[in-house]
Amino acid sequence: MLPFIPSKRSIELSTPAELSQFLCHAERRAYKQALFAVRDEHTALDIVQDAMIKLAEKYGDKPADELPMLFQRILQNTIRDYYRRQKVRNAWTTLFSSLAPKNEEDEFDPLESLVDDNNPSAPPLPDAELQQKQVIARIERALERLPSRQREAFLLRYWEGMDIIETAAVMGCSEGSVKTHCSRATHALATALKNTGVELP
Amino acid sequence: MNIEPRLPLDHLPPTIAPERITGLLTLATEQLDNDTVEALRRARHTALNRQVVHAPTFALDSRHGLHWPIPHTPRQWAAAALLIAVVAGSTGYWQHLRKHEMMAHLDIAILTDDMPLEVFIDHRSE
Repeated sequence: MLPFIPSKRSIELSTPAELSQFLCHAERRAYKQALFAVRDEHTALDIVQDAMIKLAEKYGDKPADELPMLFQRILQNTIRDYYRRQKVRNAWTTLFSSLAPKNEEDEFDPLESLVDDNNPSAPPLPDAELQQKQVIARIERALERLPSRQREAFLLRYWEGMDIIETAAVMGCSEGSVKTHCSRATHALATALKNTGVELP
Repeated sequence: MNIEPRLPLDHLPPTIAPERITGLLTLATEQLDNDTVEALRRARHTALNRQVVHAPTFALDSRHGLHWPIPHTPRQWAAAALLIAVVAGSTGYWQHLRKHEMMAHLDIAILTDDMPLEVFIDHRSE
């Protein structure tokens, strides 16, 4: 059951056009969030579609300004459900095969285990667009390697533009935890990017 | 920026502007390949086709005067029937209690010989 989210315009229910507009605005970021979490394009698409359908079926008539938080909550829960299913699947696989990868779903600290896949001493590419794509790829890789709670807090807080209270409500944790996750994520990203030769002001 | 600088690190950590990262992430969403964009569009349409829009129950349209609230859907009819049953039941129960209370007062008056004088007057003889 999702928590009640107070709204200034709680009487005005969202129309199909408003829901469509919201989903159109949020779908790409949602896909990227899912992709950072599960690292598989098809699974990420499935997760986004499930989240969209759940939002439309169960909360499609909620006020439009409640949709972002509801959608994020559903999306994060759907990602966690995927993690749980994967964990069960991995447990069964491990039982029958010693070749199954170990600790695939475990979180790890990129500060301790980040390996520089790309050569930081390589000269920058002359093409600015290509260089930008390279920077984005490194950022995305660093995000993928963040612990899931840190990544979730960072993306909700800074990419989705939620405040600390909203982020805590979506993540189901305290505001203090959100601050800690955000702080650690920011510094872990900075360290990871610095190690890969990316300098962002 | 609401970031607490408290970190379990024994050295000064590097800093980075989150807005710079999220700006580049947004840029990356605009560079998604066509297949992904099309898949997202299909997913959105699938979701929108399943959107449930609840009509307001017993809505009164104040623009054209007060209209009698008539249920339109089976669910509204069921709610109306339930409401009527509850009201009827409550009224019957309240009347039963009132009658019982009146009889109790009469019994007490008889037992304590505290009947009003009007009871002993034969009105037919007047």
